[in-house]
Amino acid sequence: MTMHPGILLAIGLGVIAILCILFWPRRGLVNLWRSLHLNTRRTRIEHALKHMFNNEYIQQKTTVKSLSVKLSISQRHTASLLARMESRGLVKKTRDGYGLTEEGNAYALRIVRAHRLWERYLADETGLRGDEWHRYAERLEHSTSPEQVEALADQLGQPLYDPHGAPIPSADGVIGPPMGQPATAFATGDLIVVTRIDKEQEHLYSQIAAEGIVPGMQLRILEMSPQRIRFSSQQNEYVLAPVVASRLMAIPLPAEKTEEICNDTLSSLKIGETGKVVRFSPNCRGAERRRLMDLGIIPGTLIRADLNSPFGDPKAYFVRETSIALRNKLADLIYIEKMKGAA
Amino acid sequence: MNNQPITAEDILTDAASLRWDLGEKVHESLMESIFKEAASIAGDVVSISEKKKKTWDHSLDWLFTSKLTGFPIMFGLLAGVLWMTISGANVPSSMLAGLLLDTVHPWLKAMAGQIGMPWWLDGLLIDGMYLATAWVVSVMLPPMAIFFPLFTLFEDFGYLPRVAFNMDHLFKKVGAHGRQALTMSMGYGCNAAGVVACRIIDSPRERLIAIITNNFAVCNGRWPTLFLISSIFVGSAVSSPLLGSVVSSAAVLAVMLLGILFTFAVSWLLSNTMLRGEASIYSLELPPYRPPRILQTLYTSLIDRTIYILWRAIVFALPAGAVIWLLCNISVADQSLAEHLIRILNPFGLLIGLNGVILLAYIIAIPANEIVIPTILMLTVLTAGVTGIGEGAGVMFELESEGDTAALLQAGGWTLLTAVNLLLFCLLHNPCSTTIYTIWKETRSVKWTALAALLPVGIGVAVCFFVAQIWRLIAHSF
Repeated sequence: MTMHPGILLAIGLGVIAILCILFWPRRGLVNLWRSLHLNTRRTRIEHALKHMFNNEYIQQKTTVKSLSVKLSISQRHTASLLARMESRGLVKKTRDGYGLTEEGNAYALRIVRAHRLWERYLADETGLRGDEWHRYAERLEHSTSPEQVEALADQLGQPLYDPHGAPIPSADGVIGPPMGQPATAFATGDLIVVTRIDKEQEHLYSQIAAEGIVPGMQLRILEMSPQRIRFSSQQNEYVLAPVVASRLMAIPLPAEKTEEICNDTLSSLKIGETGKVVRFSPNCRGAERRRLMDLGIIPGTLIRADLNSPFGDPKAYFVRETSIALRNKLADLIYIEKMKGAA
Repeated sequence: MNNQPITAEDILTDAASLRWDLGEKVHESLMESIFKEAASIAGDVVSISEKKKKTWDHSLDWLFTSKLTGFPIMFGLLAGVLWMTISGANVPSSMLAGLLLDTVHPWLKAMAGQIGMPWWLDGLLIDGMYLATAWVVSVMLPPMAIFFPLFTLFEDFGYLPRVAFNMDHLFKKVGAHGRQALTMSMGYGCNAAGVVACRIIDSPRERLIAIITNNFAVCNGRWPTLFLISSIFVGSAVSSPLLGSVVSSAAVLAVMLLGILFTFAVSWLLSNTMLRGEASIYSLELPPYRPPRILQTLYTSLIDRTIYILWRAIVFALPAGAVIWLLCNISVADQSLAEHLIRILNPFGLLIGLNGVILLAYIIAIPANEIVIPTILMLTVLTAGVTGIGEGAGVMFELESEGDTAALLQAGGWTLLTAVNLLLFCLLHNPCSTTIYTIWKETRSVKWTALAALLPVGIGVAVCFFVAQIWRLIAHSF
């Protein structure tokens, strides 16, 4: 028995449609089903602990309301969650809210350490985008054993800060002090270095991440008004609403580095011009940064733009007697000082 | 000063507090000082005076990478290498085939007859295992022995990195590395070698993309199938013979171009879905040009690539030959296993515009694409009940004339649709077992190996299915 090809065609298209619905990245049914399963009682407790820890770190109170917003569950559920945590000796009632017990604090530190180490790993060793690190780390932190956490820390060279600039607690629970003050506390014309981006309020954080602002970046404040705050870095200008900018922690740029903000990028070199490498953008990290250093491209190295490819990207640079092609996207992240004359 | 002795704990607490003051850049500043030291030593003892060579390098660079001359030179060289491989391999290939298939094979059969070997052992060893291996060697060895040394010469000269430099922009758009242009070209010689060549891509994500998509470069084991099928079915669909040969060449070229299209499409898809999380770093060294060392090149390309790949192919062809022979000679309920399998596969084969014989041939000829056509012919004789052609059950063969081949295949129920879909399936099916094994060796991951094996065959089945339905829909409405 043979079927009409038109019917078969429809069946074939139907099968493809079903596969798409099932396996579409992020929005597919398989993925949704998986993320539903993640929401167990233990992960909820661990997220609650993290929230309370973060609040205590910046000296804010944790209330039933703030926690229910954070976990996106009803206040009734939140109250019963807190009661369960209290009976396990993780939290205690305080005068005006809830606080962590010593045991709860130690537990929270473990989770925070796992989370921030994972974020560091995802930022340095994978190709995931900045707004994805947090989401992946939120899942990974619950399934990582203490031994795995320590192995991860060793592999990463015991990093001090996560990619958002928050300090990573050490294995014995020591955590560095918070650094910097909100960007809104500075004035027009100030030069600042971003130290940390607070991600407790995710929608505000993701706006900053989407702009590509990361800790270590040097910014000049161009405008400071109640409506908006305008910054500039080497190549870009950023505009943020004050409520968003208040999540951006910064310190004043040290005096000896003030001229660095005028540096050019490697990609701006014309063929035949020579520059001296000054530093890398904080957006150049992990494996990429190590590769550049392996090639001998480090602060102080002389580098000459040598050859254009037919499409203008990549370009070949002459560095340490070798010709090395780099894509413009990476060359944008290397800051140089243009040199007069030949090298 | 108190006289308390300093304990280990004191030092550790001290170190822990200093950790935060030291900052994050400590490893980098260590590295910087090492580089500075090394550079100053090098500056004292090394003198550089290569002004003349540099201008020579510069003009070559300009020639190979300028907008005007870069691409014509590149495509010209690739076409030249492919042409030399195809036309140059014909003579030694037919000589090897004459020796291994037409002289040694009958001689072995005669020997076996003389020592009174039982028919099944003789069939299994000589008609099955020996013949499959001899076939693979005679078709595979000559092109590889020409293609790889040529390729290695260009590599040694320093030209290939410039190709990667030119092509990088195109590959970047689909999330791949410029060097994939090289591994693809290598894939036209042999996919297993192409997969090994992916080692030159030093970024994890791009390397996996190159490995998984290498199969879309039609390797030289598949060229004969493309040439034969397109000339007996597609070419003969046009009335004039001259136009026919143009049309059949165009069909082969179209399949090759479709392969490139699939390489880009699948690369883009992978880099945006499954491989999104893999790290990606790009840098490409452009080494100075130098005169190629011909003897050394010949030696290394023969040992490292040709012999190595050939050995793996033989290891896989031996058991496959045995399987092919056994399937055709073990009978259950009056029919050989092969006939049972073909009957089972036939409905699905016809659904996607192929047939059971082709599917079975692709399954049992996994070790080498070279033996697909001989297996198809042998199985067609077995099932279509044609007499007077072929050498018996389980013995692969090829026919001298294209007319006879066409007649045999038409007796097997082939149409123009079967031929077109076979051309597509030839491009879009699982890599040969040598390549699959190589992918596993290179990635050490069952997941990526399975993906590399199943993705192309999945795409192939889907493409053949849709082509068949649309083809029949159009045929219906006329």
